[in-house]
Amino acid sequence: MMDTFRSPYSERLEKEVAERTGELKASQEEALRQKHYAEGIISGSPIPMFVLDRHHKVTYWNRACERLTGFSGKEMIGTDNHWMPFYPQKRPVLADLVMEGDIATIHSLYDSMNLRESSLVEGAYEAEHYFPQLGREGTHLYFNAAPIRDDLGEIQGVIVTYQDFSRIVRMGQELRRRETLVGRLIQNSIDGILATDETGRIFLYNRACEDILGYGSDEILGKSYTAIFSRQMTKKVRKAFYGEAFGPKGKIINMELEVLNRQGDPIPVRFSGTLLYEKKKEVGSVVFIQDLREILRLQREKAQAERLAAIGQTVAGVAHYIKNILGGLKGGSYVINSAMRKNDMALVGRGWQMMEKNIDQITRIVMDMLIYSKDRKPQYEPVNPNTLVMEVLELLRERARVSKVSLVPDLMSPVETVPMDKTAIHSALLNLVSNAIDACTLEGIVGGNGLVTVKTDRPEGWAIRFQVVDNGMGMPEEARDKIFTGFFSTKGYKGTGLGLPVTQKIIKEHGGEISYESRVGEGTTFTILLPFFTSGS
Amino acid sequence: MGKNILIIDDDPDVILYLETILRDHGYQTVAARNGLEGLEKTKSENPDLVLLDLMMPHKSGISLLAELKGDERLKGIPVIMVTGVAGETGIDLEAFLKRSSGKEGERHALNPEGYVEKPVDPEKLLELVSKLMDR
Repeated sequence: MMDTFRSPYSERLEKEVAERTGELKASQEEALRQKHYAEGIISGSPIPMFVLDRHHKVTYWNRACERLTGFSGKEMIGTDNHWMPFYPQKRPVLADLVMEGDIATIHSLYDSMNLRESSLVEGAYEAEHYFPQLGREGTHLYFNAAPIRDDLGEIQGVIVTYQDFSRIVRMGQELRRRETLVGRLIQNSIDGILATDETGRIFLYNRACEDILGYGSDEILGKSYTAIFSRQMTKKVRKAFYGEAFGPKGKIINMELEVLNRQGDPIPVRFSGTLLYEKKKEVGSVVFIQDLREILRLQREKAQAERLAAIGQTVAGVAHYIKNILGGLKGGSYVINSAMRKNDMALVGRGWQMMEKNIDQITRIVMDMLIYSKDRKPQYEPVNPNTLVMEVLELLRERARVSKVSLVPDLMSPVETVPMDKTAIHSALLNLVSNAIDACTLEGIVGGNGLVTVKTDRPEGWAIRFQVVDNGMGMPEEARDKIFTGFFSTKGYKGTGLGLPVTQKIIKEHGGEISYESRVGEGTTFTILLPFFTSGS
Repeated sequence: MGKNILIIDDDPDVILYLETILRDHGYQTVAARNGLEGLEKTKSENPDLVLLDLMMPHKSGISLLAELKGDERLKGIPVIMVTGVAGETGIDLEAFLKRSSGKEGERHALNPEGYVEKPVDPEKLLELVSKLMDR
C-alpha cells in the first residue's frame, strides 16, 4: 500500500530527474556543437589565426596558420610555443601582452612595427612587421591581437589573426624599382628627352638635354618650350607635330635642324617626338633630341679618310705611270747620247721621237688629272663630229698598225656641227679608241684580226652619238662596277686608271650620257650621247 | 764576231733602247714585236740569248717562255725576262712563275735564267748578259 502511495512520487521524481538530465545533456550537446561550430569556423577560415587561453597556452591553431608558419596545430596546442615561428628566441608576443594588459611593454616592443589600437575591438592592437624567417623570401605580416572577455568583462583569452601582405609589398618594391629604372633610363639616355604636360609645361628634361642645350633642368622644369627654343623654332616644331611633313600627324620622325644652345651656338640635332593622347585628348608631348655633332664629326672624318685613301691610290697610280714614262725618257736620252757619240743623225731623230712621245704622254696624264680633279664648264664651240673622229683615228693609226688592229670609221652623212668642248671630247674619244685597241691586243686573243669601228649618227632626241666598237677581249663582270672609278686598271702598268673616269666626267659636264655593253671574248661597245642644248645648268 | 741577242717586246721604243745599249757593247741584235714573231725568230735566227718582255700582245712572255723551255732544241738558250711587274704592282715575279708553273718538277724548266726590271738599267743588263754568255 505504501509502495503504491510512494510510487507516483518517485516516478515523478525519476521522470523529472530524467527530464532534467536530458535538458542538461541537450544543453551540453548544444554547447559542444557550438564549440565545434566555432572551432570549425576558426580551423576552416582562410585567415591564419590562433587562440591563447588565460594561461597563455595555445588552444586553437588553425590550418591557415599551419600553412603560414609551417608549425602544425598538433605541436602547438597546449604549449606556449606560439612565439616560435616568428622570433629566434622566446619572448612575449603581442597576444601575451594584450592578455596581461601590459600597455607599456606593448608600446616599447611594437611601436617600431607600426603599432595602432584597433578601431573595431576594444583593447585589441594591431601591428605589421617583416619576418625574415617566415617562408622562403620572408613574409610581411599584418597581425591583430584581440582579447576574448567573459560576461564579467574579464579577459579569458586572446585571438590573433594574420594577414600576409608580402605580395603587395613586393609589387610596391617592383614598381619602385621600375620607376627608378625608367628614371635612370631617361636620365642617362644619350638622347635628350623632354616632355610636356597638357598645359605645355616641361616636366621632364634629362641630363642629355642639359648637355645638348646648355640649360640646367632647374631653369627649364615648369616652363614652356619657349624657354629653350626661339619662337620661330617652337613654331617649326608645332608645325612638324600637327603637319605630316615629318611622319604622320602627331609624330615627328627624324627632323634635322639646328637649335641654338644657351650660349647661342648652333647645334645640329635630329628631332623625333610624339604627342601624348589619353582618350583622344591631347595630354602632352615627348621629344627626343639626338645630338648630331659627333655623328657629323665622324662623317667628316670618314669622308676625310676616304679622300686620303683615294689620294693615296691616285698617287700610287700616277707614280707607276710616270715611272713608265721616265723609263721611256731615260731610254730616249740614252739613245740620243749613243747616236751623238757615233754622229748618227738618223738615230738622234729616233731618240728624239721617243722623248717627244713620252713628253706627250706626261702632258696627257697631267691634263687628265686636271680635268678629273676640277669642276669645269665645257668651252663650247661648233665642232664637226666626223672630223673630230678622223683626227683621233689619225693620232692612233701608228699604234693600231703595230698592234695589228684595223681602225675603221663609220660616219654619218650628211653631218652638222654640234656644240661641244672640242679638246675635252677629243680627249674622251682618244681614251675610248685607245682602250679599244688595248682590248684587242693586250691578251692577244684576237690574234691580228683586231677591229675597232668608230661610228657617228644622230638618234632621236640627241645631237650626236659616238660609238666605239671593238672585237677585243671584253670586260669580266668584276671589272664592270669599277671602270668609272678612278685609278682602277686592268692593264697593269700600262694604264693609269684615269681614262674612263675622265671620259665619264667630260660627258657628264656636257649633260650627255656614256654607257657600254661588253661580252668576255667577244668585245665591247662604248656609246657617248651628247644633247642638243647644254646650257650648263 | 759578236753574239746574237733576240729582243722580244711590243714597244718599239723599248726595242730601240735595248738595241742601242747592246750594239754599243758589241752585240748583234734581232727584234720581234710580239710573242708569235718571237717564237719564229728564236727558231730562225738561232740567238745566243733572248730578252723577253712579260706583257705582250699575241702570246704573253710567260706562255712564250713555257714554249721555249718546253722545246728540246730551244731550251738551252738563256732567257732574261724584262718586266715592269715586280716593281710596279708589287707582284713577286719569281714566286708568280713558280706558282703558275704547277708541278714541282716543272718549276725548274720554267724559270728564266735572269730578270731585268723596267726601266732597264744599262749596266745591270750588260752585266747579266755577259754573265749568261760566258757560261
